[in-house]
Amino acid sequence: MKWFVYLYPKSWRQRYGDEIIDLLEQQDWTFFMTIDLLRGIIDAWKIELNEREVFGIRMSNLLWLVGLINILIILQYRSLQEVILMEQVALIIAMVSFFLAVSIFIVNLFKAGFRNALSIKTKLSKMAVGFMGLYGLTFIVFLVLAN
Amino acid sequence: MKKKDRFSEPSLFILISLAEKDCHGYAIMEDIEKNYSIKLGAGTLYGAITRLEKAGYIQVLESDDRKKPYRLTDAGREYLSNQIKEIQAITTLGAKRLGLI
Repeated sequence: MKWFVYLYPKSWRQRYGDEIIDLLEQQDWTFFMTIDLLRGIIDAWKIELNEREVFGIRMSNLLWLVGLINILIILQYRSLQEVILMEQVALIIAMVSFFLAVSIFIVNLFKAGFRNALSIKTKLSKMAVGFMGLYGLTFIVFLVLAN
Repeated sequence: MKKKDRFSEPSLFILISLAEKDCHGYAIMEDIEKNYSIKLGAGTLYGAITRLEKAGYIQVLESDDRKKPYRLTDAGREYLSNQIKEIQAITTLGAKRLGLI
């Protein structure tokens, strides 16, 4: 259960990490606890992203914008009637991967700084590169299936 | 009209727990379970604690232990008093309309 704590934002973990680990150690694992922790992680990220700003724009608003652009791209492809189910699945995976890669890159940019974000030294950069790779692969699959 | 600060039910339970004495997370969780028969998860508990601390309604007390006790601040006490009065007014009105009083 402890590793769930590593999914919380770093600043949150530094402040409450030890306390929550201590609390989790005193309880038996239940399914409810896992769901509750996952909700807590989402909530903590929501608070974190609402507090951070990029050029005066809230990070949460930026992520909404990126998400919206992805939905518009998916909807545009959906309108093509000839696109079959597999193509759609590949495209959705590609777009979700792209969204995650960009989101993780933006988060990493502000967590690790510009120089570190462009390298693959941090866990988040590695994750962003991984998702970008998945995006590339699934997009190629989509193009092959579409043709 | 100025929007009022609204906190969820767990936040109110935490404030009520701390109104009596300073407590750490696990003690707050036990107090809530004992008094309201509600088992709060760690995620919910610390989500509420984060918000209350950011609002300045509770503060952490220095401790060498991993368990950090929390204390209700003056602002927290005032907020809780207002919330209790508001809930009391609502329950009185409800009871009157139901003919219970």
